[in-house]
Amino acid sequence: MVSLVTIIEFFEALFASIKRRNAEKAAVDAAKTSRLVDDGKAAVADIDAELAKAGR
Amino acid sequence: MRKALVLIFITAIAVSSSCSRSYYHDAEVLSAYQRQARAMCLAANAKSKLSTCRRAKACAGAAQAGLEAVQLYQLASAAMTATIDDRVAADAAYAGAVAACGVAGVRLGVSSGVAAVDAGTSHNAAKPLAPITDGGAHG
Repeated sequence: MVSLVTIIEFFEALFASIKRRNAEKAAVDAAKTSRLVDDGKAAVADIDAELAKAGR
Repeated sequence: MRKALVLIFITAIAVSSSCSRSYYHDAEVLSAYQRQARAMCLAANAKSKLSTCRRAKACAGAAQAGLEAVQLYQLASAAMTATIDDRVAADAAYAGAVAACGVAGVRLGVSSGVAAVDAGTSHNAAKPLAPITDGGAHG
């Protein structure tokens, strides 16, 4: 017979593990997204330069 | 036996509801829009340069705001401090950027490296708006 405390402990450990894994994944994604943000800044700057050349 | 099945079922529900989707794919889509907008602006001929680049800027600027919102959410997730509001902000910024690019006439094809996303299909805004005026700067 599984006690209620055992079940609660099991779920606590499960959720903690999932949260930790999600946080690690998000950190990796954030680092990769950071490169895309920098590329985006460059793209916007290129468009601004073209606009300036075109007269506005 | 029945209790074990119930436990397995609850576990499956808990695991599936706890796993968050990756927002990096959204960031890739927004980045692809920016690349497409930049290419569109650079490739425009002199006559339509101003109009095309203004549209491209509307798309790329919105996509940049979307990228930064996604990055904020990812950083908050990494620090385990993300709230539902961070997620909604990232979703809203992404949806806004996709809609803006659709209205501006920037579309992604298969060749962009991201699965084709047609910004205009959901709101019939894919057709670029005809420029009313460029302020008279260019005839």
